[in-house]
Amino acid sequence: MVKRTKTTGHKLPTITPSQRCKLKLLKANRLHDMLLIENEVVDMMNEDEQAGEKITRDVDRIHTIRGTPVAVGVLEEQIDESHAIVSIGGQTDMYVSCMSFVDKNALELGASVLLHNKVSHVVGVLPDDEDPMVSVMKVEKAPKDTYADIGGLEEQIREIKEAVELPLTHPELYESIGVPPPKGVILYGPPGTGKTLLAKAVANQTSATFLRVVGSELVQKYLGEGPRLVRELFKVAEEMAPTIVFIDEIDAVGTKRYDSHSGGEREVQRTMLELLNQLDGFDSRTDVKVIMATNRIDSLDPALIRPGRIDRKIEFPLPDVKTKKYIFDIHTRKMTLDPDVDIDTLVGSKDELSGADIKAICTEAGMLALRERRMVVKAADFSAARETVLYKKKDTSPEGLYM
Amino acid sequence: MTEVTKDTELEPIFTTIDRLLEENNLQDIVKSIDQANLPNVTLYIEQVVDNSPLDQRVALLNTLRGIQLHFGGEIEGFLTALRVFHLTNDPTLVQDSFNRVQDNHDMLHQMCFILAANGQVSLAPSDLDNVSKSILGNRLLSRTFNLLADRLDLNEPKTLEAIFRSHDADGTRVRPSLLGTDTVSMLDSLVNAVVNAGFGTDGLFTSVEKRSPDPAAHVAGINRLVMTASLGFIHMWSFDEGPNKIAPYLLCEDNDVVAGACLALGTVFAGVQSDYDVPLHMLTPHLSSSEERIRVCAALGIGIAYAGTDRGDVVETLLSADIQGDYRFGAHIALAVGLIAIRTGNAAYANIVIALTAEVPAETIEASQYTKLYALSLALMFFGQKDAESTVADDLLTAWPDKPRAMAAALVRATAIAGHSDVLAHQDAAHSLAALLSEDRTVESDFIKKKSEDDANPGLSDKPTSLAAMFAARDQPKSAPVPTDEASPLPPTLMALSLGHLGDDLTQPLLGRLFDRIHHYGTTASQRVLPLAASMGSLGVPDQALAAGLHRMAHNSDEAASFNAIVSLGLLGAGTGDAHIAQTLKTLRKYYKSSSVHQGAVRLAHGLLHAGKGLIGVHTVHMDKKLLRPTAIAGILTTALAMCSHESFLKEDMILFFPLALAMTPRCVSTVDAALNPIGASVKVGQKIDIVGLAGKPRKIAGFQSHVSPVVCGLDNVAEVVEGEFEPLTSLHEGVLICKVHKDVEHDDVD
Ligand SMILES: Nc1ncnc2c1ncn2[C@@H]1O[C@H](COP(=O)(O)OP(=O)(O)O)[C@@H](O)[C@H]1O
Ligand SMILES: [Mg+2]
Repeated sequence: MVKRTKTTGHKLPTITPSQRCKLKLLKANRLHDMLLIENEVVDMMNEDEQAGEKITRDVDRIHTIRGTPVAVGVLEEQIDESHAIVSIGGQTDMYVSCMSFVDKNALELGASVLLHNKVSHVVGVLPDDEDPMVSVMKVEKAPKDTYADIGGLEEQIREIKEAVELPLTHPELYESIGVPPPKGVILYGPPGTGKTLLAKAVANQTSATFLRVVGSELVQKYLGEGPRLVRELFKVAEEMAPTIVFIDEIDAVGTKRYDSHSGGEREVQRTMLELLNQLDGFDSRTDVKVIMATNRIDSLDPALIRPGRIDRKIEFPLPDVKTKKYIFDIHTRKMTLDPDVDIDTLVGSKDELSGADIKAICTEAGMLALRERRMVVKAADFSAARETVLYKKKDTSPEGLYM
Repeated sequence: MTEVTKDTELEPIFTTIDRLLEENNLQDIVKSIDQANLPNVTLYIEQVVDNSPLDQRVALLNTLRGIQLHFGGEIEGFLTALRVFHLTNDPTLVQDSFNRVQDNHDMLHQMCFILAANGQVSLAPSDLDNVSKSILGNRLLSRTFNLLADRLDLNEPKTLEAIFRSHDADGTRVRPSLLGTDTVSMLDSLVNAVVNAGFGTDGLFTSVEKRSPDPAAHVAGINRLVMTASLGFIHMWSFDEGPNKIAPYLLCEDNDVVAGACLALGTVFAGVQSDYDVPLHMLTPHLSSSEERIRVCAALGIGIAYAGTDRGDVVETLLSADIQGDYRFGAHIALAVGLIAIRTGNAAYANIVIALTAEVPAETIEASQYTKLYALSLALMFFGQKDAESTVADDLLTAWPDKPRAMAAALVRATAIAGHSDVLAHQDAAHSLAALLSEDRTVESDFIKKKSEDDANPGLSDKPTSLAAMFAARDQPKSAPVPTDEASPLPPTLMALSLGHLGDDLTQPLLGRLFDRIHHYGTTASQRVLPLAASMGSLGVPDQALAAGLHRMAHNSDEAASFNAIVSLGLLGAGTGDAHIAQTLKTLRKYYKSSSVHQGAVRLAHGLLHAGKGLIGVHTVHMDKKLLRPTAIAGILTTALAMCSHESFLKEDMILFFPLALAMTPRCVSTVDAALNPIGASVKVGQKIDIVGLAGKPRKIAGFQSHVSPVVCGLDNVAEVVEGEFEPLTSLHEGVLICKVHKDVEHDDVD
């Protein structure tokens, strides 16, 4: 008996609050009970199927009928439940029948099907084949970060919603105003200010397909691979439209063009040209939006971000005092703080702290407390952590070295 | 600022609550509460209540209400009272809440707004002033909705072409001959009506109206009836204009048009009560019509118009109609009575309703698709009454054959546990489901065995054939589907699973998992009901995993199963315009390009997705999902049960789509001043952050955008009035909010 297990797309819910308390226990108990009941039902149904060992016999029979399939075809059209048109090698179209044991739910147009060796009946369906590279990019499971995890950046959130989400969900609004919706946005600002974080939150919340690539992934070893990947990416984006394409660290391919004799450089440039080409889009692609992110907007090729391509630029500045406090609140949400911790002194000083620095400080402070097996994080931990983080930042900042 | 130190001071409050909970002394918490931590404490206790075993909840809710009232939270206390009522069916606390605010008109009005949106209007005291009555009768609904439409500039009618344009852009051509069929034009008229619902104008009817007096001239029979009836959606909630628009059709010669108009009139008054009892006066004469269609539609119309009112005189009128042994008419009378007397537990009505089936032969009861309407009638009357199941099965229905009796009992159980999130009830339902499935599997495999013996198996000798033969094969009728068992308890049992967890966010993903399992193992009969049950649990909150599951089900080779799955996608995302579902529908449209029924389903789903041009949702819960809307549940349940009988749903039972109007509600938050004039307050709309157990004043809303009210806000979002010029009376941020106006506030932007 083959025990069939099938994964479902349903994630288990996160339980709030995170600290130990009665409510958390109650919620966890409830989830536990529900899972137990699910288990019971599955067991009852499995038992039922086992009756008479009918299944095993049937599986054997199917194997005999199926024989060894020799050809793979593409399902072009389904005529009715048991007949279909199948093309082999993209040329010969054949009208064949489908065996009754083929999973009808998996028979979709364009699916690859197994054909019987003698009579060309459809005897099985192969799982979908997508370009593995592209399927890697698709964010199947939404990232955990949500808008709730972002401190400040309200203006930026509003802008990205207007420019990216609104045209996808309500294209008619733009139509009625008469302005073409923007093709995409570029997020720029110093490192660690939450650009990637915001894109993740968009992915978490949006109902559109979300594709993500990092610029460096588009730089490939072999000639022509990079541009091909860009084309592929946009093709997939269109197929799965509405889609948001997020290209992080775009500077890997998008730096200013200059005469270069190194083959590698030229390949990178070709990749960028392809990107420009796709952004221009011969055919109007209204339901594919692009979000790019970079730390170095001034080094980007102006052609990439000229109006008409990526015409919305959203700046991510270093947080001001109020926002810094927010970010501290977010990252200390799950910690138990000693009453003497005063965040104002931490954020009040003139240091240029980015969101990522603040996160680092909080993590570091937590680690310090943990080292002494304390469950409570003290003010001293925070000041020590701040010293460490600031020191490290000064010490190894690449800007300081190279610019 | 000293917020952080304050936070840590507060930290132990949750520990205190936990300790008091252990000691059964929760009321003592009042001593540790001040205005600052009140919201945190009540939120925590609220969630503790939701997650406690059923038998402890009433006591906890009472304590919670005590705390709320202690701090002047009359409206919050009212909501808690309604929750107690939902568990106990004892309206004392609700009445108490009304008594407490007798002299405070603003509070009273706010309560009426809540109750009107909830639909259980019979709970309000009878001696209300006129303003409160008009609020309770939802007579301001139309105004709010039109204001919202104006603000968003959406008054231009949406035509079918415009709805489907986005579809056609991808170059899929649908064979026109297929779309010409009557069924599809009927579905299309529904789509048109749903999309333009509540606007009073549309691109199909009101424009055709000018040219010829009968817009449905080119279709006949039930299609004509449904086309006329769909006017009801277009004029929904318009209690003054609507009847005038529909009255001419009532005088028409054609019986189908008259029947449709009866239904339309009822639909206009879905959730709305006017002073003059227009629907009752206009429809009563038609109850004694010699045409069955007209009688049936009049009864259903009255049922929709008076749902939730518990009006004795209306029930009287319905029950005094002469049934003349007409099983179908009787069933619709029963349904109407159930809708009107919902959750009253009125045994007298129940007896009379069942008496309608007294002389009906057992075979009819067993085989007719209308039996479930009688059962539904009982289920609605005994809504939320846990012990009703045995009364129904052992006392009321003794004359019924076993199978339909079991079906009725299952249905009564389903509504009895609605929204309880009770793990024991869930276990019960799950176990009986597993048993039913295994029974069903035997029946079904027998059927398939018999079928394959009957038609000679094409088998392996079937050679690839010519093109002509191919098209011949396509036009041949499909092999017979598994017949629908009208008396099966399976549909209500499946629905019980999701009804039981309405409004419970925590368990939704787990239900989704369970449904995935059942889809995997289930029989054809269960696969037909599954999409309906699965979507019913989270209408208006289109969860991606759930939508993906429905998408899978939409590929089922059984026509009824896939039809229901497609329409369920529309119901799930009703009004949200969810891009993911729209995309799914687009692929389904391509996939089913040669099946006219599925094309119709896709169009209907697409229409639902843009219901009221995106301003109307189908909601079974409200008030932060804490309160059920019983009449809305009744509406969706009626439609879902009708869809379980696929064949007849696409014909004469399409009229059972109209009770869905009871679940339709504007997806909006609006603000009014004390004189109930609309005011434009600045409102943030965004994602909800679960802040339970956090101290201090954490942000409640993320990724928001600010607009001037009225604003669009569905169940998938939350709203919050920005502090400043206007301040809502309560901590609620849903529906219509009465606000205090601070004149002297200078505008400074609050973070
Ligand atoms: N505004 C912010 N609010 C909360 N956390 C932030 C914020 N900005 C940055 N962070 C933290 O810093 C980390 C790194 O930020 P990231 O978005 O990767 O920076 P970049 O702008 O370089 O892409 C994030 O994971 C997050 O935890
Ligand atoms: Mg980054």
